[in-house]
Amino acid sequence: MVFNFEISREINVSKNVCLWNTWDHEHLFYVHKQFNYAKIMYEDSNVAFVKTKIKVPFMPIYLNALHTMTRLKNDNVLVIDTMPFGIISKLEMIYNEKNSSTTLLHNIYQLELPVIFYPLKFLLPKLIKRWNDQNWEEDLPLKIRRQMAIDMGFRDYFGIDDKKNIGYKFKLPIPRPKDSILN
Amino acid sequence: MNEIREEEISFEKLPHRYISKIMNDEILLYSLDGNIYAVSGFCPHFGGPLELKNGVLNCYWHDWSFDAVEFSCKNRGIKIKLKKYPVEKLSENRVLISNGI
Repeated sequence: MVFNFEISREINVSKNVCLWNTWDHEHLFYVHKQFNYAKIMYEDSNVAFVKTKIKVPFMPIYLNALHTMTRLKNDNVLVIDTMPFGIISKLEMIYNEKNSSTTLLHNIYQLELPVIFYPLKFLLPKLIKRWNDQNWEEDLPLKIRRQMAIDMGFRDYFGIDDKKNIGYKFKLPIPRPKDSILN
Repeated sequence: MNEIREEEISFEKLPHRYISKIMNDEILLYSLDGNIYAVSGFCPHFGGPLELKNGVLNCYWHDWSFDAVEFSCKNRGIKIKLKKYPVEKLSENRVLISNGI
């Protein structure tokens, strides 16, 4: 069985801030309640493979997942998650920057499930929407504040820099300390 | 000669967080063991909000913690300090903050 869903949202931050949030794997562990484990298996400037444990919305069930991310043309992102029971989730994240402070995000989900999950098919749209809503709400304050900090002259691993406001140039991988919990 | 920038702040209670246009920073004012401190409220890692918890300044984005008196990072193997601002207490609810230049 294959199910398709699409969710679009607009946010008043730059595309680079959205991309930072998407590729900052560490915050999955600390910010998102739907992730309770994350470990990096491999990453470079175009891909990331992350072992995660995710909570299924509405149910007290945790699933191990292999969360793979690929950087596509125009910095769009392809996320493929493989989960137990042969569940595969494909998500294409498309970022359209309307201007330097507004970005339109379009998420295209494709969920592949074995036929044994057929009785749950009416629940799936609600489940994906809930998943997306919660992650969005938890990420929103990070993106808004991050944009504010950058606009004030913030530099990563430094703080506010009065002398030179260099803005933020998105670059992968996002730097992590050697003692990061993801390593 | 360097210009000293300073501003007088009134507050109802501490901790107090505000955006200072004079210092061009978000400043977190807090009290600890009878002393008042002012630091940049941005975690120097990625700019998350520092909050005073159990005598430590913590950012929930990535769980970075800083000593609230010495301002150094306590739980990452990184030599980084918070930006601090000299504070002068004017009265019970008023302080003078300067950029220390």
